[in-house]
Amino acid sequence: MNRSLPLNVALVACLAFFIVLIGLPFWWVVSGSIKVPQEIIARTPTMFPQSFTLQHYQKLFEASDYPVYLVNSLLVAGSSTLLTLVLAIPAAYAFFRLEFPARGVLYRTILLAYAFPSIVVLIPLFGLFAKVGLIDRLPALVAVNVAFALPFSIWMLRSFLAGVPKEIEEAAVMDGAPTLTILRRVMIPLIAPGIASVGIYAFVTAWTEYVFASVLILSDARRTLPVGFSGIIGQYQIDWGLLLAGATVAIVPVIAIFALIGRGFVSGLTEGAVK
Amino acid sequence: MAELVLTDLHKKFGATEVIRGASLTAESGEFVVFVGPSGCGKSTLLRMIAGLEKTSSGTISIDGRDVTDTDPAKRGIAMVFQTYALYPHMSVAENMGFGLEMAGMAKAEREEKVRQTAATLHLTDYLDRKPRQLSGGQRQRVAIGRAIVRDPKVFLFDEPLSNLDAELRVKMRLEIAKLHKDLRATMIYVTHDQVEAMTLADKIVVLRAGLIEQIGSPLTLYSDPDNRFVAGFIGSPRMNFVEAAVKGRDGDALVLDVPQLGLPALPVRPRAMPEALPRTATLGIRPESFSENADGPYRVTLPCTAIEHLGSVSYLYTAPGDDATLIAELKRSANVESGEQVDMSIDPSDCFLFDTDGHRI
Ligand SMILES: Nc1ncnc2c1ncn2[C@@H]1O[C@H](COP(=O)(O)OP(=O)(O)O)[C@@H](O)[C@H]1O
Ligand SMILES: [Mg+2]
Repeated sequence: MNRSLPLNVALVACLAFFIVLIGLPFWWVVSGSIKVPQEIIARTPTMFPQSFTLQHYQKLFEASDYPVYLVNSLLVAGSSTLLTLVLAIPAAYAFFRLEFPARGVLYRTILLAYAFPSIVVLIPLFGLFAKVGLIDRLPALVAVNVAFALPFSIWMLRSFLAGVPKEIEEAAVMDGAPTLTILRRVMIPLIAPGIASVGIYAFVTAWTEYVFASVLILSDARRTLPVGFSGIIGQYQIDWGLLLAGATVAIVPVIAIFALIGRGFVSGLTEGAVK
Repeated sequence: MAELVLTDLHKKFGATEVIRGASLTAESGEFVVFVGPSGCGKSTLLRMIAGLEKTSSGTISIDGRDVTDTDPAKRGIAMVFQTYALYPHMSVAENMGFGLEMAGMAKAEREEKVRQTAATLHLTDYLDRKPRQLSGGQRQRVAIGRAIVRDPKVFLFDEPLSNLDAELRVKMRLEIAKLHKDLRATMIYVTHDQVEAMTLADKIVVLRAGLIEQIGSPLTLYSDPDNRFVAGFIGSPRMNFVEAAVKGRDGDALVLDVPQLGLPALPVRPRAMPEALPRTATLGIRPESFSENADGPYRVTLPCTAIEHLGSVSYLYTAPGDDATLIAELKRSANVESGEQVDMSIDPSDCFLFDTDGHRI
């Protein structure tokens, strides 16, 4: 493609703007977490660390409940992601492939889940969970996260399924594959990019979820990172170094999951299938 | 090898009837080609035979067994899709072995079978490759291999060559013909390319708007079409049609006045003499029926408005681009130039007659 020089310059400038906009806070947090306290609160902020220390990390892992919160969050986000995928993939395939009464209505209805702000459903949900004994238990958070991630995930996966050429599925039918085998052996590999996106979406929403985690969990030992960590910060007077170290560690799993399943984002998976 | 019988098949999509009563028999080992213009229902009919489309009414039977409502995989049929429809994430070997695996064949046996089939299709060196690493022709061969490996009773092809370039198309056409000879399997082949139809078919089925217009061998359709549609569809360039007035009858021929050709009394023998003489008729004559021997009794002079030289033959057009143009094939006179008047003659026995509804007279 041929682009004119001014357009190229404009594109680069635009890109640079967004890199700075998004990257600068990250850099600030990560670089700050290894500065000694004096440098962090120094009157003239330093763009590049003049000192190096791991004291904040040491304090974070040895003198706070941070590791407990971290494990809880990993458990909740991990199970929420898995469960979302396990439920969304067959559901999306059913909405895509199977004929059943009220399919269209049902398909649109599931999006109603997003019609209410979470705060509105919080109280009834609390009552419900209290009845079934799920208050102060991590599965409650998993249930909430999955319930909120599912509708979008189903919509997203269905459109990925619709992008698979119909003939490939028909070829599998002619080859004698049962529906679930077609899903497992043919469709799932072909919509891997969609599954990766949905997985990341589910993980990140569960990882950052605050409102339900703050209300449905009562005991300190079961708190997730966003809630528990905000407690650490307020507990003493604000310890900036600790805060920055905690924030840095909280980013790590998200980056890891991007690196791990982001590989599923390879385009052109169906290349060579048709034509 | 199997006999395939379709009896009065109908297919409706909602309110529109796409197949409007199709009956036909494909003998065991026969190569049957469905031709017709785009949208006439060829693919739909083929997909009904495959079981990918439900049949609205009528029956499909294979070797005497009614399979109208049988699962696609249990009909003993394999299909080659126009778009190949290979599994992109599987290797060539896995693509070919998938159907066998689904049928429950043991791994070792499966691999042996795939190897054998790949060898006959010259795919041995590509067994570990993914479809995207293959050329168009190789992909097409994999798609064919995937069909063959299962030893189906009936093969279905839906325009399998339409995505290939002209040279490869000819090559694959010959390979498919050879395959049919070697396997002696019943094959149903959809195409809109009448050269493919003529060269491959034992039997051609001409479809139009969901109806079968005529079934017959390629030469029957060419030399004895039932109606104007078939006459115009089979043969390239297409048959010329000119309006004629019926002057009377002379023995077993109708005497026609054909002003467009400048022939006041052309005696043409109809297929069967109609009881009452029609007042008008459409005369059909193929481009290749014009003879440059201008000393026959029925001389025609055509204005050459455009001429296409193909080397061995040339095509003369009287009104290029117009539906009413006449096309004549010239065998020798490659030195004719546009603007000239060309003298030729025709033989009444090469002419066809159609009534105003397009039926053959
Ligand atoms: N799933 C479908 N729903 C509605 N109409 C269809 C469907 N499939 C095919 N048709 C219609 O049926 C007619 C025949 O289609 P098709 O069999 O694909 O034609 P061909 O293969 O001869 O070009 C077309 O008019 C097409 O629009
Ligand atoms: Mg078609």
